[in-house]
Amino acid sequence: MRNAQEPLILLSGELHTHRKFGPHTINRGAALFECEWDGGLFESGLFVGGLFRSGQFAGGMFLGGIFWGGSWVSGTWEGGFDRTGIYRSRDDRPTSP
Amino acid sequence: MSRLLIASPHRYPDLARLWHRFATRELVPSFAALHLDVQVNIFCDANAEQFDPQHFPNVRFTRSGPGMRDFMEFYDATLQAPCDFLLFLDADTFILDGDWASSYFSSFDDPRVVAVSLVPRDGVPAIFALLCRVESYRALAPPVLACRYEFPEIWPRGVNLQPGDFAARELARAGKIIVNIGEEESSRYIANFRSTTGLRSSREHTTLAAGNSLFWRMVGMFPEYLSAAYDNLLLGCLYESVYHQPFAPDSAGAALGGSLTVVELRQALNEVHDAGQLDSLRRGFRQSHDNILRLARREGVELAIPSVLPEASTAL
Repeated sequence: MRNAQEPLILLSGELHTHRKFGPHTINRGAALFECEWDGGLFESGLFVGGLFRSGQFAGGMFLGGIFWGGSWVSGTWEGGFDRTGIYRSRDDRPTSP
Repeated sequence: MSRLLIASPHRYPDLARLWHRFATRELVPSFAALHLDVQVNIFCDANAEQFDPQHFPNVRFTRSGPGMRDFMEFYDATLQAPCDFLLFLDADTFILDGDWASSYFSSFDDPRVVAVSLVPRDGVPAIFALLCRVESYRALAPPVLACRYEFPEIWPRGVNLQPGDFAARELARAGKIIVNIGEEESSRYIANFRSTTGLRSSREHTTLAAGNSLFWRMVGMFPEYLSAAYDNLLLGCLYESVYHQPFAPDSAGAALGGSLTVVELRQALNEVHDAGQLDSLRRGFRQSHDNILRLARREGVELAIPSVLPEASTAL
């Protein structure tokens, strides 16, 4: 049985669709399609078409999803929507809070 | 004299060469015959250094940069270009009869008409081939043409508006008219290949961010990748026949390595076991196959199109 505080680490080569990841998740290279990210640390990998509800985007590529909240530290903003639904073009990454 | 700008966003110069070849030969003369001052604009969404101006006579290039960082901003920025009418034409959309397209210019005699959509999406106007009266679109609050996501608070049940959809709705509310050409008529005069650039850029992005093996898994998950790969294969056949160079090469120069090579596509199709999915793919392949032959006839070339489906299947 997984300890509630034990981090879930997603690794390169993994592909996830339509899943929700909570605050104890760290992404280290996985590709997420239409997923909800809520509180974890996104270190690297690909975020496509989902909802970044909260957490930290510290690396990887953001493509076509909604950046609802959380903090943008680093990474490649290839395009996506802000929390009002307005499209933000390539390199128009969210500002850090 | 009114000014018409034919504008198209491109990421890859090989596809842009094919697009330019047809646009300048089929479209420009037909619209110029209406006493329009016709200009052609290619927006280099990426790889700008690979677009050799010698391959694109009579084209005004714009590059991605501030105010026009990607193709989505290109749409709105281009609304401010010095022109009275705009024809947005997708990178993989080929109008085969310029006289047919230009015949719809008279629709603007009705002051309520703000655009003519020459290629519909699911039966409604779309931006694939959209002839616009510029002043009507400029009157809308920006962003005018970019996609947007309505009701993000209820994701994933919000509404993902495609480019141009928001403007179309606002204009309709104001009593304006977008003439919508139906699918049957449109397909008689226009050859569409879908998501060919999207597949190539997806391979670039996915490989960069998550590795090539991950891209390969996506090919197995998303049937639309197979359709786009087949369309790139067909465009590659035409391109190699006309220019004698590989189309959509990878970094090593292998033909279609930036999309799916013939071997990769065959392998991917071998792994499709659902009969319904195979039937759907076959129907799409057949339509694209017919479309590329229409383009080839315009060029006066014969194409050697490799078969890719697993079972014996005529011409595919």
